[in-house]
Amino acid sequence: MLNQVNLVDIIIPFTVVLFIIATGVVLLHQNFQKNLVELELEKAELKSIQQNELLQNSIMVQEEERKRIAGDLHDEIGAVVSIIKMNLMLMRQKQQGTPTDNHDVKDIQNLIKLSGTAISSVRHISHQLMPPQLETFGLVKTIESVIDHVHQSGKLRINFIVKCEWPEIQWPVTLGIYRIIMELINNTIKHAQADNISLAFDCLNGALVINFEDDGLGFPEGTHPQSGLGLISMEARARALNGQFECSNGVERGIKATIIIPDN
Amino acid sequence: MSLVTFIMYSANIPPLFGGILALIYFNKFDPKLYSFKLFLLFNAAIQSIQFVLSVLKHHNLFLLHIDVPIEFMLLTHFYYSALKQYLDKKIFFTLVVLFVTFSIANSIFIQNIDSFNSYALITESVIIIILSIFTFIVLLDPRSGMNNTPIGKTVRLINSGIFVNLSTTLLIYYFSNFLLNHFTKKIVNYIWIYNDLASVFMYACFIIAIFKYVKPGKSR
Repeated sequence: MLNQVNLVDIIIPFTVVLFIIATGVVLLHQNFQKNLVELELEKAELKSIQQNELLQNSIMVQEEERKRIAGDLHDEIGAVVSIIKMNLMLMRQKQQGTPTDNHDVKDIQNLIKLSGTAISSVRHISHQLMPPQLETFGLVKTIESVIDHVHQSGKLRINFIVKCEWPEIQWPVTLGIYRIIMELINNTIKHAQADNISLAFDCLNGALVINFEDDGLGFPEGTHPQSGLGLISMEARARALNGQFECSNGVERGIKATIIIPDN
Repeated sequence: MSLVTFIMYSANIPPLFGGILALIYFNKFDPKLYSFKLFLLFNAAIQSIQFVLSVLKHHNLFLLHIDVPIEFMLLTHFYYSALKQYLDKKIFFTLVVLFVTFSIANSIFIQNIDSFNSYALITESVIIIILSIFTFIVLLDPRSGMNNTPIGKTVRLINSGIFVNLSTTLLIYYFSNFLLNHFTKKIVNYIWIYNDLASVFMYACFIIAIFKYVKPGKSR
């Protein structure tokens, strides 16, 4: 019976059916691969956003803590040391009318001097932790004040230009930019053996652009410019502000750093 | 009653049992299995009507013409719910529109409502087998992460049942005309028993999936 049947009439169409199934599976698989790549990109983007948020929160917490410590240092320890100094000065005044040993006078004088030093240190540490004028007078005025202090120390010259109408920016952005600039200036003072720094603020295409250059030694040859911890932290701060931080050796000498922060 | 007759009648029990379980645990199904539970209920209803009509010796082939497009829509929606992260939505939409149009056109113009709609059944089997094989691929791919989830395990069981049943169906329906024309009724009956056993296997997978994952609330 089967011999009478033309098997080709059955087998070939069935092969076609199998071919259709195989082709269908392959086409679906290609679509699957494409969608999988998109899914993985979405997951990576989400992870990046979460990491950014974590970074922003971590920096904010750090700054809040600094502010609190600065406030406590200034208000509590600073106040206590001031009271100690005042009491010592009172004691010295009382001694002036009475016969006293020279040693006692000198001791009190030393203690007054030490307490004065302590008050200055507390104020300096407190201002380093959280500059009070940053919130009150803004970034530009604070940078100008820092530059005045640097000039007074005679360590180097800083040429500061603001090329545009500097906008009102949010406090976290102000603080972030201030920290990065301070880190750059401190690095130059500590390591670069530079004589001059050029610092420029500009506004381009809705972004705040800060250019920093010095005429120091630059990064040693063979080292990646952004491999140091300080530079990594600056990059992290810029990223937390949805900005960019780039740092490299200057054209002729020194280093060149650019910070770009979106205005919004 | 012969063994063949016994198997043919008892093969109606799993679909009815599946429908009853779908009704009992209606609220325990994961939202992704919504169309699957409708499929169970619908199949149970069709099976019941088909059984009653066959007992009353009435013609019941017209039920297949209703069953096939609706079953296709429900199964495609089930695969869509399971795979929508991994495949474009328009693929499923296109498949449903094209197949339902073809099925209706087949019932009206090609194989009328009183005849066996083998063309629609074969086409349905081919498309669902493609989706089924693809689902296995997705379940096996570690990047999808589906195999480790409770819903993935449920889908795997259901998909296995569908694949075995429809592969058997495809073979039988493809060769149905040849079988009817060239073999005795006894041989043909044995082949339909094989079809019934495949259906029983499918429902066994469904019932295991319901008891293992849906009933204890593990499919979510």
